[in-house]
Order: sequence, then structure tokens, then C-alpha cells
Amino acid sequence: MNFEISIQGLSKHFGNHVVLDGVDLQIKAETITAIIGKSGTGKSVLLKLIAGILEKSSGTIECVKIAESGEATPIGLDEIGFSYMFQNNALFDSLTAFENVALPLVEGNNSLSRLSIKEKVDYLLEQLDLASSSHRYPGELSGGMNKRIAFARALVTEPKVVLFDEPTTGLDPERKFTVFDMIEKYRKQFGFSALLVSHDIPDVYEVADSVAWLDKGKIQFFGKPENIDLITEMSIKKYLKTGRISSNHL
Amino acid sequence: MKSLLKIFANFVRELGAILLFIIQSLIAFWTCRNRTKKIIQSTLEIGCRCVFIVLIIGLFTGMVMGLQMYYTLIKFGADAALGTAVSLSLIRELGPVLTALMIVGQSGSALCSEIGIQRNGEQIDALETMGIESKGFLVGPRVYAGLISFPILTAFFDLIGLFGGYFSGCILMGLDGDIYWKKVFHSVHFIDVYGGFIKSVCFGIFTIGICTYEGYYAHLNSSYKGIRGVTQAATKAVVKSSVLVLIFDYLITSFLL
Repeated sequence: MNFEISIQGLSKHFGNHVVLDGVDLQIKAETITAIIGKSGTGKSVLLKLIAGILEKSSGTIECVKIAESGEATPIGLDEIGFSYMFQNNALFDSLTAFENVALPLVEGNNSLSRLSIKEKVDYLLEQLDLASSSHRYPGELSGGMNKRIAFARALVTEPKVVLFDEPTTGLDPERKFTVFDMIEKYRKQFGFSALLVSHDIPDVYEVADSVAWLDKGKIQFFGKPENIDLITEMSIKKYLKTGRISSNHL
Repeated sequence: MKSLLKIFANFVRELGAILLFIIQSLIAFWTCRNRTKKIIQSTLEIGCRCVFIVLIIGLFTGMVMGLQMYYTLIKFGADAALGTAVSLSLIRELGPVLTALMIVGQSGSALCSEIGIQRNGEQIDALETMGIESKGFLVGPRVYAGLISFPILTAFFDLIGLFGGYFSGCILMGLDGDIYWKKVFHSVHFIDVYGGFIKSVCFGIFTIGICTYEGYYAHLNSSYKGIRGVTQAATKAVVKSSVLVLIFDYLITSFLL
């Protein structure tokens, strides 16, 4: 399905504190957009506004389905099919790893049989080296393992749009590349679009088709990852340099 | 006077919001899957948590009632009416009220904290992004479980309380046991049991509703964020539920009598 998500003049303020101040962004089908920026610049807020978790103060978020003839029809993000991977995983402590991953299928709107759900979940857990921990609870697992459970839960419904809020934070370098590889692999397999908030510079460039630099409530740069080095603005250059140094230290 | 009116208006507004929240949760629950399993799990969760404490409190309440009533009635030579006094006080009033207060203290606070932590941990937001009705999934089964478990626990409280009254009045103080039980069976009518049942059902809906409401909106209604906000919400939930139990007890009693 060809679609486009168009964000225009998106603003969000909490009381007098302005977090986003007129964000413009286009997300096309089957592309991965990495959102980078300093902590506290509103990257997660942007994802939450797109997902509908937070109410926007102003601006528009429009999704359109594009037919082969080029005709664009407005459509809801729910109708396209989206999922969200939260920064702190948002796993249910009372459910096992298997049950957490299966939750959107077991409780969601679909007609899958128990066997198909089990097969899907087992496959994902296997892919993410979690098969032996499927019966264990999030509290009994490491932070990295919980991250992968959250990742599996985000992909289990085969969504067309996935919003990743720092999917690799807290993972060791090997697991981090596994997650990036999985994003790339599943993007090819299911053809989803991803909006990826990450501090993993320059690793995130490997999977991203485009990079958006968010600062002072606005998108300050949007373009291909290879073009980001052409930026002359000092604050961005400093941030990117710091990101690279910390990445090399890993 | 103006500030008193404002407090009353806020109270009524919040009561309305809680009622709306309960109705939304009960309706949304029917969009969820595995409903029977969820209700059974929640009923066991509330019931099992409270059964021991309800039995202990019921036994000792009955024993105290037996002693106090015995010493009062014997002054008038009416000690034979001990069964009537104990059974009617327990079934009409003390059973539903004390059971509700026990459940609020034991399960209500835990329920509020659990949902508040899920709100803080973004699990509730996660449910919404998965297309799962969070109120139906988290709150609905608990309110239905309250509807089931409150009357059952109240019945346990009443029964053990009657035995407590028998123990202190008959075994310890020497009143004839046959007379005690005869008076119990003769004086308790359907309307008394029905009244107690209605009270326990109302308390079940409202107390569980208040506790889940406070947890669900812990991020909005508390002055603090994070864990401190959750503990504040749990305290508010227990206080509000306990006060409302007593207010509703009076209102329902005045309607029933």
C-alpha cells in the first residue's frame, strides 16, 4: 500500500513550555526516517503526537492513501496499521515474554487462530534470541532482553508504520546491530515505514533513508544521511561529533 | 459559603466523572477478548487477597457484638434476644460496611497503585497504540469482579460474625445456643439479606471504580509525578472510597427502610 504521512506546523506546549513549534515532516511508504537531536528537544513528544497518545496544540497530521492512478484518499493511521515501540519498553510485568509479544494479537482486532499466533510469536522470539526466555517475566530479564521483547511486540502485527522510540538504548553493540538489522530486514519483508528516534550516531545512518535533526522545536535539517556532514551549523556539528566519539568508544 | 459551594460542586463533578469512567469501562469491557477468564482472574485476585482478613475481622466483630449485646440485654432481662441483635446488626449494617472497608484497604489500594504504575510506565499508552481499549482491558474486569466478590465476601463476613456472636454469647457467657440460633433464623428476613446484598453490590462498584479511577488518572489528578504521584493517588483512593462507603450506607439504608 502506498501512503504518505504529512505533518505540517505541528506544535505542542505543556503550559507555557513550548516543546514543538511548527514541525513540518513528510513520511513516505517504506522509508526509514531517523529523528536525531539533543535530549529534551521533543523527539519522543513528536512520536506520541503522531501516535495520538498526546493531543497536539496546533498543526496537522494527515495520512493519505495513494492509489496507482495517483489519487490521494485521506486515511487514518489506525487504518494503515501502526505500532509503537516505547523508550522504556512498556511491557506488562504480570505477563511472560511470550504473552507480552502475543498481546496485540490475542487482544487486538484480528481473526488469527491460537496456533498461528503461537507460530508468529515463536518465530519472532527465535529471531531475537529470546526463545529460551519466552516463559520468563520482564522483571527476570535484562534491560537488553526487555528491549528486544518490546521490539518483537512492535513487529508482531506486521504494521505498515512503526514508531521506534530509542530502540537500541541500553543494548550492547552486537545486539544494537541485530536490532538495526531486524529493522532493515522486516522493512524489506513487510514493507513498513519507520520513524526512528535514536542517539546512535552514526550507526543509525546505516538503516535510515533520511535523517531529521530536531532542535528548538523545529526540524532544522532533513535530508539523506550522507548529506548531514555538509551542515555548517556549529550546534549540529558539535552534537554529531559527540555522537560519533561516544559510538567509537563502545 | 461560596467556598463551601465550590467544594460541593467539585465533589459532585468528580462523582460524575467517576460514574462516567465506570460506565465507560463496563461497556468497553465487552469489546475485549477472553472476558470470562479476565473476570475469574480479577475475582480471585480481589477475593483471595481479602478472604483471610475478612474472616478474621468478621469473627472478632461478631465476638465483640456478642459480648457487648449480652451485657446490655441482660440488664433488661432480654439476653435471649442476643441472636436477633447480632444477626440484624451484622447482616444489615456491619457486614457490608466493614467488608467494603477491608477490601478497600487490602485490594483497592493495591489496584490503584498497580494501574498508576502502569500509567507511569506507559503500559496504558501501549495498550491504546495496540488498538486495545485500556479501560475495558484494565478496569472493566476489576469492576465486574467487585460486583461478584463484594457480596460473596460480605456473606462470609456475616456467617463468621454470627459464629463469633455465638462463641462469645453462648460458649463464653453461657447463653443457650439453641435459643441464639432460633432467634437468628426467626429474625432475619429476606429484606434484611436483600438490603445487605444491595449495599455490597453498590460498594463493590463504587469502591473499585474509585480506586481504578484514581490509578488511571494518577498522572493528572496528583500534584506529583512518578511514584510519589502513585502513592498520593492510592491514599486518595482509600480515603475517598471509605468516606463514600459510609455516605452511601446512610443513603441506601434510608431508601430501604
